[in-house]
Amino acid sequence: MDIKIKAWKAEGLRGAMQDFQIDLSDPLRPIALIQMPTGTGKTTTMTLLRKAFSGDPFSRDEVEELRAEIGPEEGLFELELGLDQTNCKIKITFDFVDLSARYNTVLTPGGNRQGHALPRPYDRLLDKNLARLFVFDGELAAELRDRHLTSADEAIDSLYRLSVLSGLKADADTVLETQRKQNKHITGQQSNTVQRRKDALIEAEDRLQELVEERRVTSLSEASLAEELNTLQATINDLAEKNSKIDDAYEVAKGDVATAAARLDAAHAQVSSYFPRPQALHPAIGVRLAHCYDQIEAAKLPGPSSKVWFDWLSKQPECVCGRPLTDQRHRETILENKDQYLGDEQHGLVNQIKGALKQGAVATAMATETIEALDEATSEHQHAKQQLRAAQDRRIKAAGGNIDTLRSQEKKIENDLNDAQKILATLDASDGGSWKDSIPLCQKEVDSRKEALNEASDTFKTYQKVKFLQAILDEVAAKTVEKVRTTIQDRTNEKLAGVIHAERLTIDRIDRALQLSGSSRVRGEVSVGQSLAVAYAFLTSLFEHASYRLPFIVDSPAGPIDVETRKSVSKLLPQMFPQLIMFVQSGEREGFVEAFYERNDVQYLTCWREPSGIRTECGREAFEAFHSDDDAKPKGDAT
Amino acid sequence: MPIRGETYASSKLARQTDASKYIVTDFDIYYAGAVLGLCARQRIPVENYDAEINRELTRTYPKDRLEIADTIAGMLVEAELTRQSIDPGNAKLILATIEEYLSSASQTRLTTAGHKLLDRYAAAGFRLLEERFGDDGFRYEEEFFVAYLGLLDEICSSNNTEDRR
Repeated sequence: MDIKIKAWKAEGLRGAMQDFQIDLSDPLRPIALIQMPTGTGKTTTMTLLRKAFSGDPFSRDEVEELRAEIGPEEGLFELELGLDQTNCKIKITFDFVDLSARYNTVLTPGGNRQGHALPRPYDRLLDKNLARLFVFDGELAAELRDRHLTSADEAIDSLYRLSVLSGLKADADTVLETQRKQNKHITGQQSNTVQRRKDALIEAEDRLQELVEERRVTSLSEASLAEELNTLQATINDLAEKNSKIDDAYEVAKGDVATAAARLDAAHAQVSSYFPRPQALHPAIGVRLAHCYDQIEAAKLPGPSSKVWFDWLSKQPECVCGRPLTDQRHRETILENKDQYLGDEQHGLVNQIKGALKQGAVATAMATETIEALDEATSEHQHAKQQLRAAQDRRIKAAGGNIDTLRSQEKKIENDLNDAQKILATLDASDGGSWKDSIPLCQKEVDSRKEALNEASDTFKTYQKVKFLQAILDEVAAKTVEKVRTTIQDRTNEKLAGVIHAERLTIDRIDRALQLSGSSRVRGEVSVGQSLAVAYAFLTSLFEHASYRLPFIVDSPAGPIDVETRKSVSKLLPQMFPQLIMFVQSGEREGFVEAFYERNDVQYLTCWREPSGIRTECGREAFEAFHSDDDAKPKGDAT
Repeated sequence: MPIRGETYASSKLARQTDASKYIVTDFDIYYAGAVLGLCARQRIPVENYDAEINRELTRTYPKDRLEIADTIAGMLVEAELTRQSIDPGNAKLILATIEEYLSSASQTRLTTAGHKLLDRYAAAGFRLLEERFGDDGFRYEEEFFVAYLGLLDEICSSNNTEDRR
């Protein structure tokens, strides 16, 4: 599936959008650099492009925003696309009298259609969330890293259509509900039971929804409190570090914490190395295993030989001692007594357990001193941290800082964090407590009430099938998300290594947001430039594995990025998108725009404002010569 | 669904703040409960199995932990022989116990009955943890190690074989 932007135009809209047109189709090239100074409608263009792609409805306020101060009662925005072999025009007509907007779609071939009516499968693909990814703005770059939002997960979901799986789950429920309604043979009494059970199910489902929402909100609050605590502790540390001339005990305490932490690490590592082996956990375990070995030995298991051997012997003409086995009674005696001995399988089993017991019995257990050393190191580390904290407080106090307020804030956040964690633990608990307080227990209650309802409504068999299908879909969704996340994380990190050279910045995991590691992230200090580079690395990795070929439209792609990173980004972006449309300012020339001058697949457009409206000129010459007064010079990497 | 009490143990560890030291896995949590129950020679009653245990974690061990299968199987047989006070000379009963719970064909060296039995010991182990440490839990892994090994020491020093109810 290949989607390309051929042109767009605006008529009768506010400001520069009064009469404005961009045509990329003559001839259509993979890269378009459009130089548009501030005030020529870039932000509005980006918004309208997103809307045109997704068919997202306009609010009255949004239409009002587009109305020209003095202008016609109607306005138009038209986006022309190539959807593989189909030419598609999406028209948005604005009525500034009743503040409404309506969509119209013209397909060639296909004709004129009312509304936002893209042909299949484009209609299913292009939604609001996806449009935000490829008509990209800097806000999304920050949101992708914001743990309070779920933008990174949503981006993966949008592009890989993971919501299709939850849609299928809902479809299965609909099938069940339809069958339930169609069961006409149910008697009046049965019908009352069905209604009662239905109400009971609704009660449990509603509660489950509330609990899930409570979990979401508490989880956000937990993340926010943890961040707040980190920031506050960083502030306290900074204050203590700043006043370095006061109280030498602070430096000593810092050294003591480092020493204690190293000791603790060593003691912890030693215990950790013993922990996986049960017999190493306590000397009594070895003793018990040895005792058990003796017990099996005393029982003479296995016997000196196998009973199979006696079977064989009973059929031989003579015994192993050389005497002939002519008397049938001797043969019978051998067979009768063979059960005192073990079969091959039993023989192997007993030998196996004896081997395990013997091995376990001789293994060395962890010395008591090892555990004591960990205990001591833990206490020592705690003590050193308390000393450091006291020294910090003295230093800040001596410098006139209000440490008491900071500490009381810290205590409050810690308490709130603890409360949030307790709530989460209750919500996640799968044992004890009431089903009304825990998500797993409530889910269990919902399932059991569903079963009861389906038994009463004679849809039990269908319910079982639906449940089975939904369990498979859940598993598929969980595995897919994990696989996609891992792949995208790995690819993003590979790209980041090539894009950001000054500092090693990597994504630790993708969970709601992109969670970064690297020295900068300790205090959340990721510069705007780094943030943008991370977003590019992430998005290009996303699009790289998708089965759609989408354009990428970006405003000021290199504005806040340092010159070195600009060069890498200028190479990265064209590789990843079949069509790249970039609104640039003259300040982005150094390191970024100039890198495209070497290519021959670039279209250059320059727009500027004149009293009569916006003028557009094609060609590199005009593009290079143009330098708007309001364009900012490269600012370097702003934080 | 985890074993009753397991959520308790894992949630206490999972919520520790010093993530860099995090080494204990879900399997470790199960293992910690199982070792505790086996050393205490305590297991939950069989009639409580369905109510308290809804998982099949022990049906496989992580690859890097396969080496403990023999020892755990040995501990299981030892605990059962002791609990049932089987006479050391009673070869028939000893053999029956081994045959019921052990299998050389299984990766974990346990039969299905052996797995279920181990689950019951693990559940009893989690109850012991719950009883001792209540809701306080552990903020850091080292605290868990010290507390857990201390409890194990106490348990190993006594020979309590009563069935827990």
